[in-house]
Amino acid sequence: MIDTRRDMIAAYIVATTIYVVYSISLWLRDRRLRARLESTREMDRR
Amino acid sequence: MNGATRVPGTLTSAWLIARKDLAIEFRTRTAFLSALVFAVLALCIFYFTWDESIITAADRAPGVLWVVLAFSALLGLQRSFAIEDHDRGIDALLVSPISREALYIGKAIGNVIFLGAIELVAIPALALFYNLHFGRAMLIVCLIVLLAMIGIVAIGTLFSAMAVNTRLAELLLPMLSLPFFVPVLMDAAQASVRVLAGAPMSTVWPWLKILIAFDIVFIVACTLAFPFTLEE
Amino acid sequence: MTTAPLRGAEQSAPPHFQPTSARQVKPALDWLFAVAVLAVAGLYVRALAFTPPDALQGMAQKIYYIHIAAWLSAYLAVAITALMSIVYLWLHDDRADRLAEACAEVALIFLTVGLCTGSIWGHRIWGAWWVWWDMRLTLTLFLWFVVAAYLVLRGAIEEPAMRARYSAVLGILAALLIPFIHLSVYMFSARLHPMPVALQPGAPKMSPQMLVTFLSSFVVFMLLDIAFIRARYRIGVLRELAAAAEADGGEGR
Repeated sequence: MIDTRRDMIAAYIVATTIYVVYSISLWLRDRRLRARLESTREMDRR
Repeated sequence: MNGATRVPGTLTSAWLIARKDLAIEFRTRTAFLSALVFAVLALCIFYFTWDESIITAADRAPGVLWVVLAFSALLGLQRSFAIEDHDRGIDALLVSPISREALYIGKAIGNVIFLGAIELVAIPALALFYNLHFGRAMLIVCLIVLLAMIGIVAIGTLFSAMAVNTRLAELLLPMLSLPFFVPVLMDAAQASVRVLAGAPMSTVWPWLKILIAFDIVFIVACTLAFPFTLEE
Repeated sequence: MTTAPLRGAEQSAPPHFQPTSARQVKPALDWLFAVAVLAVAGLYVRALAFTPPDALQGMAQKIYYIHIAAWLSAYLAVAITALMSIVYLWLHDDRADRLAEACAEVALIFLTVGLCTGSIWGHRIWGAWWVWWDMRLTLTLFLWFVVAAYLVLRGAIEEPAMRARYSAVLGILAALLIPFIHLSVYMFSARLHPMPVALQPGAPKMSPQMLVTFLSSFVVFMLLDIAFIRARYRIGVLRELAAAAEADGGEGR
């Protein structure tokens, strides 16, 4: 049996990285859009 | 599709559209000539991308044919709705009593003739430059080209109408169309490789069947989908 | 471009709850996302520490637990996109369009994960990073291109009703395309390389322990799939609100 531990670790790291990066991108977009909405509303109020 | 009762009938008005496009093309000839030169030029350039001592010219001819056909098709299709966008000719077509389906079929017929004319030169040029024998095999290849062209035009005409309304028009058409060309090109190339290698027709026929099914499905689907791509 | 009245504006769906401010839209990453993250972490611990390695493939077999689940999640998301495309052309409901958009983006993420992990697995088991004769790998690659084209098309149109109609048309045509790619790739691979039976992926001999890990990986990543889609949907709502607010502000001044 060939030792494939390194392949397994590589696959898990790649997959997890993609999920984490996507989660961060969702979180950032959520935050940015809320900030943008707040600022336009304050401009309207003035 | 013959069920339309309005005057002129769907097929008649489709033919009018196709004739209009071809008349515009015939008057200027710039798009046709540049697509033609592109096709023949690409055929020649691809000759030098393989090692002649390893793969013979006849073996790589089908591959070259399909790459060149796909990209010259994109050149022709790009033009199809771009000429209407120029001075909003599409608005005039939309207020005319021609049905949306007839407009699509007419555009598609025009594109098939445009592409067919290019192939009429490109296939003999391929046979000449790659030393293929003119004969029964070449006739079958022409038939495969016709089937593939119908599928490519069915998809490409619809996407051309969509792409022209977007910000990335020139870039978007290949990006939308090429994934849809995948089965067409794969089937057509596999079939023509076998035909040119002299394999029996029983090995070619399964590929042709998928190609024919693709043509039928996408002619119907794109004709039905086309009205959704126009502004109301 | 002249602006003709658009169909979507007239024939919009019966009124439903329309959020009017950002406060009414729930946060993108909420409790469901937290549950999904915990479930993924739990699955990792179980798969890596408490599931025995495969006798034939060794540790590499553990890639299955993230690889196959990623593809299932991707196919689920793609199926919802196609379904929502039909629903949109039928009912002209904005929510269907927004859900289709959310699913397409999430599908691209899961397809990318599936392709990367599949390639890493294949490079050891098949001896090559990429093989064209594996049907699933090839089909998924072309699916990736179609989904990418769908998202690029969405990005290239600004008018919302037109964007929704165009992408719905593309979504439906893509659903028709997939069987043809599948059949072509199948015929291409069947003639070249018959699949080696011993290494037929997807059907390895699994001990009960492995089977439990394998099946729970489906549930866990579907959960993550749904959490992502929901988050992306809410971002779509916020984006529309922002666009509407900016359009209002522009007119007021």
